[in-house]
Amino acid sequence: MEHLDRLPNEILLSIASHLPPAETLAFSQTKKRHNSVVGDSLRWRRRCLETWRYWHESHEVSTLIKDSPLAVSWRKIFESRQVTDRMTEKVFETLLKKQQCRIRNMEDVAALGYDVKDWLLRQRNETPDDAHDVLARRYHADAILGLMHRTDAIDIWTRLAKNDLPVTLEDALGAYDLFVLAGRYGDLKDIHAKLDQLAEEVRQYTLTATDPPWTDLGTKARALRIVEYLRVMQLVGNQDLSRYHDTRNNFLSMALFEEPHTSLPLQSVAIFCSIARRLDISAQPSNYPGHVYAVVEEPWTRDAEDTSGLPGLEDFAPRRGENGRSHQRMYVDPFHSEEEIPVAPLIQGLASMGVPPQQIPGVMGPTSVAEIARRTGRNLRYSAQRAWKDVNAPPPHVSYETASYADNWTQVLLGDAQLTRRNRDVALEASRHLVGALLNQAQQHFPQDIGLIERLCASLFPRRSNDEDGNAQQPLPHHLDPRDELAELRQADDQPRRPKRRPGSDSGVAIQYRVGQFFMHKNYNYRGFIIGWDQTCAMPEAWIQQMHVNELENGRHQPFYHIIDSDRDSRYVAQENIRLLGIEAPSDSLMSLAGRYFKRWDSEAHIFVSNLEEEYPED
Amino acid sequence: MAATDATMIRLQSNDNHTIDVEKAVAERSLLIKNMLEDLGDAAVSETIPIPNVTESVLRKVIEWCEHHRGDPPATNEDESDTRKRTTEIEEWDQKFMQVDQEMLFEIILASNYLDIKPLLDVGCKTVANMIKGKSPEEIRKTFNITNDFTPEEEEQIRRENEWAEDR
Repeated sequence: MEHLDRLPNEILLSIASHLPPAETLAFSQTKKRHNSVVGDSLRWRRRCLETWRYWHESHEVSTLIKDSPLAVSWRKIFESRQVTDRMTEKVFETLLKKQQCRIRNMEDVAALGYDVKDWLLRQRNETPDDAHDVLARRYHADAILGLMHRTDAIDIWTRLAKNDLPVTLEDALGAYDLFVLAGRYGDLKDIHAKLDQLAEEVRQYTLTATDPPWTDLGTKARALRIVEYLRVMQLVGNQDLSRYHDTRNNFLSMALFEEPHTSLPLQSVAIFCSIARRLDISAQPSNYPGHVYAVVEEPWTRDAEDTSGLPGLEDFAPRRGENGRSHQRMYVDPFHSEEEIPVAPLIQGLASMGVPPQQIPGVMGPTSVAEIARRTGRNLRYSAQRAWKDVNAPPPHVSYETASYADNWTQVLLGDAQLTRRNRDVALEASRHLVGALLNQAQQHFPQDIGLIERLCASLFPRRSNDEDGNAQQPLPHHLDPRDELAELRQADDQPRRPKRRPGSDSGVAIQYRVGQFFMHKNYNYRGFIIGWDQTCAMPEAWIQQMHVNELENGRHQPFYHIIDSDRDSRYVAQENIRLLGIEAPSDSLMSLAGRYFKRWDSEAHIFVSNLEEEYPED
Repeated sequence: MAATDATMIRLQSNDNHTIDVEKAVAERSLLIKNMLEDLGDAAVSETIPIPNVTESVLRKVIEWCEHHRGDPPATNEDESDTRKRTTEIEEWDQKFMQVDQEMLFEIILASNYLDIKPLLDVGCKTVANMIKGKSPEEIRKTFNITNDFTPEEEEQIRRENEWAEDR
């Protein structure tokens, strides 16, 4: 007797609503009627998951996908996400067409977070080469993704600075990956998933068949097993030390996802520590100068006859806790070695570096997550600086500008000034200086980020008259307050552009070139494209003197052009120094920069098609 | 109306057996509860026919109602609160549901007819638990389901959904 046949559809539905997805699918395959009852919800679920890989955290999608497909209204979710996509499209089309409020519109899209990531990725990756605004479309989709990810990264570092919610090592470092991610693969969720997977693999792993299984190992042996696995799989360290300083080595996602899986010692240690934590082992990067080790701490009871302690250990290692328990420490160096690192040479090393004995316990101990995050910023800037100077190096993973922008952000959020709060005036001055640098960099390369800086200023330079301790607080002197400059930028975005008409032929001024033209500098040979012009040099007198403008053949009273060069810098060039390039096409990197100002490259007319029509209607 | 918990009423199964049951117990069934409200005082003296349920099933259902007489009244199911859906069944109910399939489905149908939502729920969860962890073929075997798909149709359904389970 086929009992299920006797049940009405509602009851079949009610049964199926208790089934996880796999069994709902299995049930739908047993009989046509069953498929017709549950098939619809399976299809909506599939459409949702097929259409969108990324979900705003408010959906709690990782829970939803484990739930019974019938218990989730996938159809409603599908419809609401479609509405979001359509809304995004509308705003995006507007910002491509209109200069006014472009930054605001970019912010509005970015604020929707991961619910718009798929849509933006499609614009970035799937806009056909022959689309009439291909460069603008790709550039702005990427720029909004960049803003979205940097918002998350800055949020992580802010939490780390406030110290109210614990931030994991991988999040504090992965925030750098986010910071530079834009439209590429490898966000925090991907990093988490990879680390989870590696932890599981370590648990299953033995090098030889005779090695004891994970469950038989003590804490120390487990820590060494993790190092062994990571090194055997070449997921840590760097075989090619000539590539030690490559910028990519600063990024967890590069180490985890890209062949070869190279990293700096700091990132190797971070990968080790993150996996150790997943396997219930306490491990942190060390405070040791010059090289990062991992400090593994095992809480254990020391008994009287235990003299197996490492030489010299008694002097510093045990930190007495409650009930005479102490923590035994062990050191590993996943970047270099599978072996445990003996303590004695480490201490001798400190002595020879001149570290005073009373500082040794601190230096041998673990360091804070915030300190490691700061260190990464410095390393990244250094790597990028080397790459920038070294003409033979492969193209760096991130440009020097981006690296130093990231470093400035963590410096202002996590630097000494923020963390110690000892001398308010010094801290304020340091912050103001850094904000000035950030503002400059944002204006040049990340105009969509000014909202992030506005928020930063609001927290750094409160307008209240009392500080936290109730002391009267001097307001920031007017000329020092970066908010005025910010307000100007904001206004410039919000207001309609003032159109610049080309002077008539009777004016005596000949603006020879147009916005969008591609040229070479006559004296310096660099390539660039024109994004604006002035009838005469409009720079302040000091600049004119410094640049010897008056010594030019036509002096200061000739048209000057705002240009972007292939190093991403914006420059101001006299008309006499411009030589148009008639055959050569702009490089790929110039093409992607051009999207900020232009729609596409017209290879027949040999000019970028302007997207600055509000400012230069006649160009 | 002085009648309280101890008031007895008489139910009649579709195979014409009568069963006396405390009014408060019988009112776990919303169908009976509504009927009693409609009938008023007269209900106590009348026999209430339950035309869709046989004696053995009715006794089983009443056993469940006896055990759960003190439970808080069933609330309307909150459709939005999907998180609370689990297939956990309390121990007494699990034992109670250890019956042959024939009886299991009879209980489900009876609780549906009598409008005893919590019991229907326990029944559905029990069937869901019998499906869990099984392949389509194993499910068919468990419930004696005749496969009316062509192999192509079956393959198509499988393929359509394959990728979504990868995550």
